[in-house]
Amino acid sequence: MTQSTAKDLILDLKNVNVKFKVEDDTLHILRDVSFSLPRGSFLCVVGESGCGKSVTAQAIVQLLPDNGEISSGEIHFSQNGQVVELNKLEKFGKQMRDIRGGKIGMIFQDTLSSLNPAHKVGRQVAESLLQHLPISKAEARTQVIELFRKLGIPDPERRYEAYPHEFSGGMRQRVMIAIATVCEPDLVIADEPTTALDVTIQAQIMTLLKELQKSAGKSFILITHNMALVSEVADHVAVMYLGRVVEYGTVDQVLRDPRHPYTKALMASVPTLDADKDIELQTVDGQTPSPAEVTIGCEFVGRCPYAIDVCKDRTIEMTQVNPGHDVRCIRLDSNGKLPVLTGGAKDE
Amino acid sequence: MISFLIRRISILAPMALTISALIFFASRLSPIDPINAMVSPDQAADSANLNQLREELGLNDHIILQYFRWLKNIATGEFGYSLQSGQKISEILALRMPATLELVLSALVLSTILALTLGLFAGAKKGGFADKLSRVLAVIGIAMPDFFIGLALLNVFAYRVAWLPTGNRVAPGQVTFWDRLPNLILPVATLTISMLAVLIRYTRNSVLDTLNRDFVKTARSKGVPEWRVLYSHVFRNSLGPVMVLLAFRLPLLVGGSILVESVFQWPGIGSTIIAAVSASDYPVIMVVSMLIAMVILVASFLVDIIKSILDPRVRLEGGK
Amino acid sequence: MKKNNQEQQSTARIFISNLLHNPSAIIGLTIIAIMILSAIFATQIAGVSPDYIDPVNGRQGPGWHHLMGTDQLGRDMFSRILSGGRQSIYIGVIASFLANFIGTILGSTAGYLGGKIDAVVMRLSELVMTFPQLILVLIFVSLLGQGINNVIIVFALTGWMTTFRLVRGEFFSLREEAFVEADRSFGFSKPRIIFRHILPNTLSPIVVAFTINIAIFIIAEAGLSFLGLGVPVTTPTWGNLLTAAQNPVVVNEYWWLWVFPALSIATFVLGVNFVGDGLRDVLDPRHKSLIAKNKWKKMLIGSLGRSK
Repeated sequence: MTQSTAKDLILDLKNVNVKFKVEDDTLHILRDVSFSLPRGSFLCVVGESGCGKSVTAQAIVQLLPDNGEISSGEIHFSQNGQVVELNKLEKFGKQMRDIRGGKIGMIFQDTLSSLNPAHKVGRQVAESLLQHLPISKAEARTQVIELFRKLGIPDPERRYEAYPHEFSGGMRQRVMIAIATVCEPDLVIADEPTTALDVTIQAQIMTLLKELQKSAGKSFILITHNMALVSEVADHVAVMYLGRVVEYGTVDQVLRDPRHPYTKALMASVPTLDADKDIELQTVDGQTPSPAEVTIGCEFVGRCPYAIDVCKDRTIEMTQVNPGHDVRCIRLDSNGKLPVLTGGAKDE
Repeated sequence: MISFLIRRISILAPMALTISALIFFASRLSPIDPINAMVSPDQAADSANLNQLREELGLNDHIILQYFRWLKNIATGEFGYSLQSGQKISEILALRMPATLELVLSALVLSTILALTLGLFAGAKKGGFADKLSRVLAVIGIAMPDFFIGLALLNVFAYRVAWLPTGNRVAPGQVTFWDRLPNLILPVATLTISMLAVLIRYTRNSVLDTLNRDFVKTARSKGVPEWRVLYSHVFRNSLGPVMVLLAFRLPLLVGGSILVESVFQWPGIGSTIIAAVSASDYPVIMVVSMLIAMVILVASFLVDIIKSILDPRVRLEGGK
Repeated sequence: MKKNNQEQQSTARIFISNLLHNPSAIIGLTIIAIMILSAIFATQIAGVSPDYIDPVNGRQGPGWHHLMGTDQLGRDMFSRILSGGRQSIYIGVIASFLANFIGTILGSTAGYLGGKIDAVVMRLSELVMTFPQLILVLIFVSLLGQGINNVIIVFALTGWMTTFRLVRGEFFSLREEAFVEADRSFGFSKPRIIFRHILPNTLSPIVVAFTINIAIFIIAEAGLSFLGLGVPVTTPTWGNLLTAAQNPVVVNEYWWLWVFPALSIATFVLGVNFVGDGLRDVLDPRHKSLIAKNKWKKMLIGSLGRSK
């Protein structure tokens, strides 16, 4: 289990399991996911496509698709000094909806499909404002225009009346950020907000996000598979593989001293820390198995150079290697380090 | 936007011409002497003047010239004479169209309103009342053409229970619209049910598709209540396919209720068409075909307008 | 080539076994089979000829001797309905076959060649499709006259559009496939590519369209004959048995004269639709599951985050 220092946590996930029903199968997408987010810090959730990072984000705000459900676990959210168990709230009930947009803001990846093509952009941002605050339409409009200006959208009055397809990708993402932040939520979750953007725009948006977070002291979760971004903005990092958190710690700990074989491989496959390409695990053999295939044992067993038979047989727990640094691997010795490999051969 | 519409019109005009040419030349292939279509029976019977008439009417001119003259006549409402009854076709139309329009327009409007509301709920609440209703209607729609429904309704409501009259648009003694309203109920109900079956399925599918789209997730992530998500986001974006379907059903306004009219003895265009076909009354058939074809072209144009209103993207890009 | 045949055989066997396990198809096939058989053996089953006139017993309601009553000339309705089925089903099947034939030829040519030909035929099909079906049929009937064969021709001429669109759609997607390029590089002639190589892959929508069209045409025949403009009353079809219902007295007093034909049509049509649904599930299980899978897949992938 994640052992965090007794800090003020805004979000705490404990053993969250999410299952999806596809045709006649049930896919176990999230397996015992646990991590916590100290208030005011920036957490990056990283992993390959399909590891469940987006599902985690959706599960937090209960926006899983119809065939998905949180089968077990707890999601604690700290709101106004009180802790609410998010997964216990009614999905479309008033409490949950007050939190959505009001206390937790979401930024999605595909901006073109995530915005209603038939509504003007300004209206879509104002919608969030009007939902949570008792202000007039005119007042909302003013605030949104001001927010557009702050976010760097030029000619905000005119842009308020524009449609989503009239914007470039980077501008649209700013609109999404506006939607997510207009009510000044305590927590913002961004699901790969820059993956579809050009490199230069990526940098702009990330700077913007980091500034927003720092200046307002808000908590932030960034979901990404771009390690370069992580090194620039994160305070904490959670590494996920096939629905499980395999390593968690501060950015220094995870990036400079990775302990889990998967994290090590991830770091090793980054050519330089300034890499602006998406990461393909070229140095690791094999492919990510489908969530339907793996049940017992470590999910990484098929591709792990350190794997031994035992790894397949039992559920692996998280162990603490340093304060605040947890790793899920049984191959770690008493110092929390992996054994030395001899020419890549597996041990007996 | 204007240029977009102008472009659409410029495609429709040649189509209209082609269709009219087809109809005209097809009719000239029939063995009937065209003069019978162009003058009243009294005049035609007067064979002495027939040749002179032919000359006057231009029947000895080149056929292309005749085509254009016919076209001009049609455009100005000079539809000619029915072979069967000798009546002016325009008179027949004026007499009969209102009845059909009354029937079909009511059914179209009713079925649209019902389909949109029920379809929305059918898509939004799986297993709810609207959903079950749409499934039942779907089965009815497949297996029972409109006149079955009509006969069934007639038998039950008009005969067994005798709540409603058995037909006819106007019974003796009925003067105002309100007087005749009971006569309208069963035929309209029949046509509405029949149309509803298809429309509701379309709406429901469209709603289901829209619910899967990403911007619905965004709306929910703002904490917007479900009713508002449905009404403000989903509905608007589901309208497209339904409106297109409706526009393409406009030709029904002219010829869509033949069977229902027959069941309920409704004096509309339907019975005119039936009589014309049995008697090979080509002038009437031609005019009706032309009318329907024109309505189709107008409908297709309307569809483009609708698409551009509903989807801002089309407006700007000026095309599909 | 031999291998192809072998593969095709096992595919056919798999297909048939799948079909026979599909609940929708089973129900549909049962209904249809019963009705077709009873149509073929009409006189044997009914025990009396549909043309046997017996005015004394005219206008009787359903009873032991006459399961579905008699008409005004004392003819047994049960027998008439069974033999009427013969004609109606015959018309439906043949017309559907013809319409499909036309639609397939046009669809494959337009779909493969594209360009102007495609544009023209598309426009034509759009225009014809938007005409209310009955009106179009009536116009053609006025030109060609009545009678079973003419009705079949008219239906084929007015009902090819759905198949056309389906086939055209398939051709559009298939012609970009690798095997077509290979064929072209082998120098195969266009007709050969179209008909021997691409077409077999489009069979599933064609078969489904075929079944659906049968239902559509049977209903169309019903409407047409009800109006007295379809098959002349001398040969009973389900449709012209319904002509009796043009008379409100019949509708109300002698309900068995029209209710049973109507029910027969409805039942058969439902059966055909069930078969069509089953066929669609089986022939294109990728179609149904593809749609479903794609839906879930989209949601799943959308949730998991996009891959690059």
